[in-house]
Amino acid sequence: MRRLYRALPGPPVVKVAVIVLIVLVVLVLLGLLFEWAGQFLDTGGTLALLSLQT
Amino acid sequence: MVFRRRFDTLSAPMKVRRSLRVAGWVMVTVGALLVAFFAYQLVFTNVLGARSQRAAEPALEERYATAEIEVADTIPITPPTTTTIPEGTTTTTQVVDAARYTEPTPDMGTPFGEIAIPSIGLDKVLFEGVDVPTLKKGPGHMPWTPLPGQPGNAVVSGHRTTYGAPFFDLDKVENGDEIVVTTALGTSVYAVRRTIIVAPTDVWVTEEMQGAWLTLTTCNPKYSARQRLIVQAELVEGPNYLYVEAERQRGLREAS
Repeated sequence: MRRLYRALPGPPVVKVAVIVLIVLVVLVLLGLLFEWAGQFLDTGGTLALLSLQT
Repeated sequence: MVFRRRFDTLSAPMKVRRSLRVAGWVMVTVGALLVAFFAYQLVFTNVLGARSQRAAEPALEERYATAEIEVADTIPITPPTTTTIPEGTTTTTQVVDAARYTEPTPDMGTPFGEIAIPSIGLDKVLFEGVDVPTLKKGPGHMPWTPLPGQPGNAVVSGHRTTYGAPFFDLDKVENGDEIVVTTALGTSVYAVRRTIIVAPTDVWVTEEMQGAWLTLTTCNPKYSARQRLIVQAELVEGPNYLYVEAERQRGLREAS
């Protein structure tokens, strides 16, 4: 983390803002990944929805 | 490339140490991700599910208070009878009808009833729809099947282990157990008739059936979406019970 902080350009405020942004993006990506992977754990019990709706 | 060049300049023992350190960090990261994943799915989503259930109650109360119940159809259940009143010459013809009551179709994603299975301690708000956002709120009714309480096969799907896990203990339901569904129409009681395990593609369990049925579907086994656990229950009491029975009797008469 320290190395990443030092590598970032700009004054400390900008560095902190960039790190917050990176953390938020990572959290959103993790949420999407977990939601996708959650489909293998529990789909909600639906039955081949696409074939039913067409 | 820089990393590769640096790594090549290291002595053999240092290369082993560096490789072990990298492998260690990879395993710690994967482990942390797995812990975070299961915490998200099994704790966080259940908190969200419980919150959605609580948030749905005012809208449900409003539906109960405002939904207009209509008589969609009637079937005479007694043949016309002629009665001669002893005091005079007046005759009375009496016909008793069994009525099919209907309620307005709920909007997608909105709460419209409650489902309870006393034998497994289930009591949840029912929503209209089986799309991903709706099922996160609670058990959802498949919109292309009749509403619970109506003749035909009403299908309700629900999560097994996540988002409030409404059907967590559905495998513990036994034949004869009661399933109570309350909607604006009133309370309909179903008795469990069969429990089966099918493939996720076995859509035949949602097909139309004679009488009035409630089909519950959820994932099986727990923590896997490999199969579907299906519980089918028959209407034994409710606003449309008389109509369903009359329809069955009429069918039997026509068949004979």
